[in-house]
Amino acid sequence: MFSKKTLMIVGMIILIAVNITVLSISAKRRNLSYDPGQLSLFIIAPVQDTIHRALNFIGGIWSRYFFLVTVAHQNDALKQALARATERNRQLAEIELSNQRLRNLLNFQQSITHQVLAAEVIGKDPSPWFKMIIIDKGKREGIQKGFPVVIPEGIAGQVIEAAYLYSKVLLIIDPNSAVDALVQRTRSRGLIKGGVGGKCLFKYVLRKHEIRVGDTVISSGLDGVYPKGLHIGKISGVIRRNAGIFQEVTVTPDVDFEKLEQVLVMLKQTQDEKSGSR
Amino acid sequence: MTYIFHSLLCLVLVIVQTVVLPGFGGGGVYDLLLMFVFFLGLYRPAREAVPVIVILGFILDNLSGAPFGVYLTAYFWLFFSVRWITRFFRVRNLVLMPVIIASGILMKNVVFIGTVAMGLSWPEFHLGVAQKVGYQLLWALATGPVIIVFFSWLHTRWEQWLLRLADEQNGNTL
Repeated sequence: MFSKKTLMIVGMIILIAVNITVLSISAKRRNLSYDPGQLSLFIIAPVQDTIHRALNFIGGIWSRYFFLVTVAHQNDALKQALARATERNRQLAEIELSNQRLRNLLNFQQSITHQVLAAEVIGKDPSPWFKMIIIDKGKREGIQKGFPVVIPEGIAGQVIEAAYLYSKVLLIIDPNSAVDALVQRTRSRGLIKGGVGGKCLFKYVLRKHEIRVGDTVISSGLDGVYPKGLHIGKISGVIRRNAGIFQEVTVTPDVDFEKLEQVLVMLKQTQDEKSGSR
Repeated sequence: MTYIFHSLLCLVLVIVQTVVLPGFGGGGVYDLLLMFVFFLGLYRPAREAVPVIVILGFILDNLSGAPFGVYLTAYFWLFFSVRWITRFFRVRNLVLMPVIIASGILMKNVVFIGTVAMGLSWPEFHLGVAQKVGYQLLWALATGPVIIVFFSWLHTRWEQWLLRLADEQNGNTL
């Protein structure tokens, strides 16, 4: 009745119509899930995933190789920058500490009436048995033998030799050093001499004087070297024996002689101060 | 020319002893220049070493707060003691070296302690002595032989360098 050609055309039209209908229905109901669709997902997706990962891995190796080369270069550059920054940081920390020390010295300098000169410690005694330092100021700056050397914490020592540009300073912890001193609280007098192990001995303190551990010892000004009232240290040990007229007293200096870097040399005393200390 | 070597080495050791070591908290370590004195006593002729010892002692006496002449005395007598020991035992080897170092450190400390103790009574003084000397002895025994051998090696290299320099100059002039 119908030719093959006519049947084919009609079939095509119906197919197109069904197709359009299905598309339009599926377009309207997008969230509808189909079991066959899930099955395909179940089968294909793992393969897709594996292949995708493999490709990513290969791609990653390729791209990361070049990436790592760049990173390595960047790493080198960053390491160098870090080293420079660390070094700079160290320098700045040192400058900060130096600044702090100099500020302390300046404040101390303003608080004392003597004419003082700041000096840098450039060397220490080669022998552990003697305590002497070398400073970078000498006769050129007006330093002379016998000038007292101090820091904000207290007395450091006295100049024992002045060359044109440098001077030798005998510290108060040297066994050859002696400072006429008194206990601030009781006014007991004695002689501070260098001991062993960074401590001083407070000699010739009479037994009758009641002094205690922790008392502050200051210079008496009677030795003609150190002005009166400069801090020396604190009493760290008192032995009062039954016999004898003196007691054995140990003093721990306020100055940390291991960390001595900058000092102040007292250049001269005015006549008023000299008379005041007597 | 060998005096230039001695002068340079002395300068370096003095700087290390007075600036570098105290800066790093190693002020109590033994006298490095003593090792130089031992090196001179063990390996160098007396006519070459004695002027060096005298000048070195003089410089150190001036740099130290110790009474003048202590370093000179210590170095001079230690030098001759080392020479006498090496002649007496007829050896100059590594076995003898620690003995020389230990006795040298002790002798030097005896000289210095004697000088310090003149101004202090013994009860005041004895407390830190054993600790200080022991510390120095340990350091010296651990590092001294190596330092002396190093000085000897350095001197040999210096001599070789001078000879090579002289050869080259002779070759250039010919």
